[in-house]
Amino acid sequence: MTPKKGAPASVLVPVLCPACGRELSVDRGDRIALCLTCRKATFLSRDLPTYDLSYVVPPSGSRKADRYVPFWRVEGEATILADEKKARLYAGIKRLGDLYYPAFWLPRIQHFQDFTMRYALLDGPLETEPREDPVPGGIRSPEMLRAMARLTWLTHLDRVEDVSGVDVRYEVKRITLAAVPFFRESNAWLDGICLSKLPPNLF
Amino acid sequence: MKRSRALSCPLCGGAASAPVDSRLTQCEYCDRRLFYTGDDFIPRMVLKPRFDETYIQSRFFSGLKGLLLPRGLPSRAFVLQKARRYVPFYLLTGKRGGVLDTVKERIVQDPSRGSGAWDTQGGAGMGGYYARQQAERVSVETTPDSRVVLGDFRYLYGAAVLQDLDIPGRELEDILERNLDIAEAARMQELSSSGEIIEATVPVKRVVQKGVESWQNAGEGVSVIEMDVRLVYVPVIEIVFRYGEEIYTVHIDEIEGALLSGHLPFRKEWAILAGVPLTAGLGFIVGKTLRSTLAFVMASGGRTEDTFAGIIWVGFFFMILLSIGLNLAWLLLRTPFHIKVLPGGQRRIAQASPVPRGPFTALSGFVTRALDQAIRGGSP
Repeated sequence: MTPKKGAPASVLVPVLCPACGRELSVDRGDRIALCLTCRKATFLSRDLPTYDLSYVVPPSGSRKADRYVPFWRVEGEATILADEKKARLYAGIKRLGDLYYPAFWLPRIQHFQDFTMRYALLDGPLETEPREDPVPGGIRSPEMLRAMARLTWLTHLDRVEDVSGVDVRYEVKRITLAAVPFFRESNAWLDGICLSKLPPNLF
Repeated sequence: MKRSRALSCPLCGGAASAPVDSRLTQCEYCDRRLFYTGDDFIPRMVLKPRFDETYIQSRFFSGLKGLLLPRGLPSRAFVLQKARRYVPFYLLTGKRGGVLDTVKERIVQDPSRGSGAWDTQGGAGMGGYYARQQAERVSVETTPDSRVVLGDFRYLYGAAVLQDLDIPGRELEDILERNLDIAEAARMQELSSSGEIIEATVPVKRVVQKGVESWQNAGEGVSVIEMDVRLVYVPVIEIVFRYGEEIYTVHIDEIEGALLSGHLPFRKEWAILAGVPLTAGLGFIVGKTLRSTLAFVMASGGRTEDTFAGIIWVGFFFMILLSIGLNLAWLLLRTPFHIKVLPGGQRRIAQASPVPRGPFTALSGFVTRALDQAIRGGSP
């Protein structure tokens, strides 16, 4: 039995991959379900948007990641809307790369705030690879990513010159779910990109 | 009134069970896993009790020792009931951000504004001249500025009114704040089988509004980009015990093991001991009074009227002192004192219930009335 056309969308959605129809793996409390066969991530909402899932490659020579942590990766184009004087000041600024925002929820999520800017200021995009390692589910909606990307860019510009009268138009080109490797140290977690330390009891 | 709605499986149309502690549910007909996408669902988390029964017991009995508590209370306290309660709190987390309009202030020197006049009023001489000239030349220039705000927020709010339960919400909130890292997804069935779940009675809408408002008050331009609302339960154990004829209650949090609140018996000896200096003081005053009376009688030289008046006045004074003394002694002995346990381990002596009416109230009433009559000269 299939839902009738024109009927109001149900508040219940099946936990099935929209691409292959297989049952999705989702933990209690999560909103992002993964299909490791199709390498797709589905945000469980009424319209079931689906995103590609990729794994960020750890630095060469490093050991196997102890944990993969989901981040929303936003690729897009930022246009700076400023007067001529300010536009000149911003002209030489290093442009931000892909923007990574935590897709998971933690009571102390602020530990991850710096990661977005750090990853965005790296030279060139982060290399990804297809893997099948488990990724703990996320809950954060991708809906807020465009607004976040705009503010991230404004924060970046604000470090060069005051952003009064300046705006950024951010055009999202692609959103994917990127699994970022993390390494367990004796008294800390290290992120697999910048090797920044995080408290040991975080996950 | 909350309207209930039937949940039907989008695959087969069969009835689906309502989500309880997770958005995941199941179709009762086709057994398919389903996900509830409604906005009205609030995920629930819990701080699991960290201590076993032995520790809680030892914590309880160690709390029964102290200078203000009766000797041997730990061995004479008879535990009647131990009950766990899960106290709910709303946890609001999310992202807020925007461009905050501010102003940049700059101190500038204005050479055109210095008057150079001598300050003769204050008599400050050359120093006054320079100070005045300096003040007139310096001005504050403001230019529009802005600050980009982007970050996470986290708020905790009590989700139930705890006054009737004598549980200090503020203290518990601090414990939750310090231990948020160990919060885990709650299984309501498990929780209800291990304790009483206090219902979240504070409307979530009000809490959300409060959270949003507090950020919007931070400045125009800053808004909430994303918000996640959760309920987090903190376990508190309530121990009811009997000591003598009275029943007492103590609350211990099961995360840090702190004695949160409650009432303990008061060591009666302290009231009696307090009566000793009081009695001594009153005795001293009475002795002095009698001595003065005697001296007055002796000095009156046999004038009957003066002697009689003096004795009457001293008699009244004596009666007043006596009634005050007896009433105070009654208050000390018969006031049902108890020890109130306050957050942070502090203890305070408090009155548990009204003082029973004593036999000396009549005496003080009689003295007051007689004194009143005497002052008014017998008029009603």
